[in-house]
Amino acid sequence: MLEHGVDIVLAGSIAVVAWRVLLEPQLFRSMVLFIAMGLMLSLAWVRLAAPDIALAEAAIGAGLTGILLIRAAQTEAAQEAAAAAREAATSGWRRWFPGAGRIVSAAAALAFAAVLLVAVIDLPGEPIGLTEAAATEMEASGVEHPVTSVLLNFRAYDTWLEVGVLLLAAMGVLAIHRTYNLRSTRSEEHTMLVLTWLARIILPLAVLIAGYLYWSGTHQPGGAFQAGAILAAALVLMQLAGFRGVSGLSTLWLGAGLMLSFAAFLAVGFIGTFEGEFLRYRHATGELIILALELTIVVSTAVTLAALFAGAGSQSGDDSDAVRARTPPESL
Amino acid sequence: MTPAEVIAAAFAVTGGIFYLAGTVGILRFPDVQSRLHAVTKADNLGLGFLAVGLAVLAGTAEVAAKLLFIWFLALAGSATACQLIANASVDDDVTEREQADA
Repeated sequence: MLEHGVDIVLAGSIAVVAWRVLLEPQLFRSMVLFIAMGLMLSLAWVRLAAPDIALAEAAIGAGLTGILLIRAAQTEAAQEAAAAAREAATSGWRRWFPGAGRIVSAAAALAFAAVLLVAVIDLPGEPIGLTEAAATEMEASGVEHPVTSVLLNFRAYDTWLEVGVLLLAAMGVLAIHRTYNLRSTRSEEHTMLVLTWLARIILPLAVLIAGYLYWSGTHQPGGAFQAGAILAAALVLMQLAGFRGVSGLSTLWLGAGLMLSFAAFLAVGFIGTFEGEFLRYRHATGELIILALELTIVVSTAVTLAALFAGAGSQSGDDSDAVRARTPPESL
Repeated sequence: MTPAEVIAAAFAVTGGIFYLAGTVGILRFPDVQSRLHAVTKADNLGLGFLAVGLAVLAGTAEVAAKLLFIWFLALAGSATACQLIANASVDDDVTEREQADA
């Protein structure tokens, strides 16, 4: 009974906070609430016995996404866009239908929720899926942790494409900057000594924790993406503390860091074609290949996420149009 | 309940009381600085008691060391965040006063 009580309170709090995120008129408060919601969601993943996802949600969903939002909102372009959106909401036909956008969004969300509900009710009672097949083949995968064996072996193709998505996002940031590195991005002019102190403590510890998560991914919850996210957080902290971080990287090193993992998957994939299939590993070398691929994921995830942060604070040139085009008028 | 469980529960409940006190402080205190004073001190102690309680329950030195490490990270993080927020609030106060004077 007590266990259900915890779950019910948690689920209820998530719904309430999500509601507040949407309705909060002040942008900054809304973002802080969004971060709090991410932390609650990661607790929910823990309750659902999915610690891998909980780690990723806490590090990426709450931490890095939150700081990306705050950083982006600080730019002049975003503030101009917010002002323009406020003006648009009180002029023209919108003046006669205040909240029309919200009503349409709410209707669409409710319709989608209804479809999902029908889909869930329609689910067959017996679990269908590949759980059993994956469990029996796990020994052949080269690692002992089921999540890692699925991500890096059975479904390596999906993971490769996820790495590709990260690369595309970083390319988008560089494209907005119209440059091949992030050296032109804003660096903190006046930073507090205490932040420098924290960065000096955190950086070595972050490397330690990332290494631990990376290594433990082979036999217990943890893994490359989570390790990369923690390294990225340390890089972001360095940037905030006035160190150069990823924006100090030259074009060559930044490009290498961003592309390392995608290229590594591609190379392993081609080697696999000699075994008869794209991305197939030989059993004997499975663990080594997985560890090597995961290491590239750690590096590329860290560099990519930190580059997104460095790029999000961009004040450079005429990127204001790009930001404005992305901002739906009703959202601010 | 084993003796270890009793000790762990005592530590956890003590930690909970500190959390409660910190939360009451956030809700009741009038300005940013005094709220910070409530939340950083009380929550850090609360987390410390909780970590000690869990360490007693875990029983192995390895897990106990990890818990204390987490507490140390939280201490460093909240001390820094406290400084940053306090500094920002002082800056805000100064700007407001200047605007009021002008």
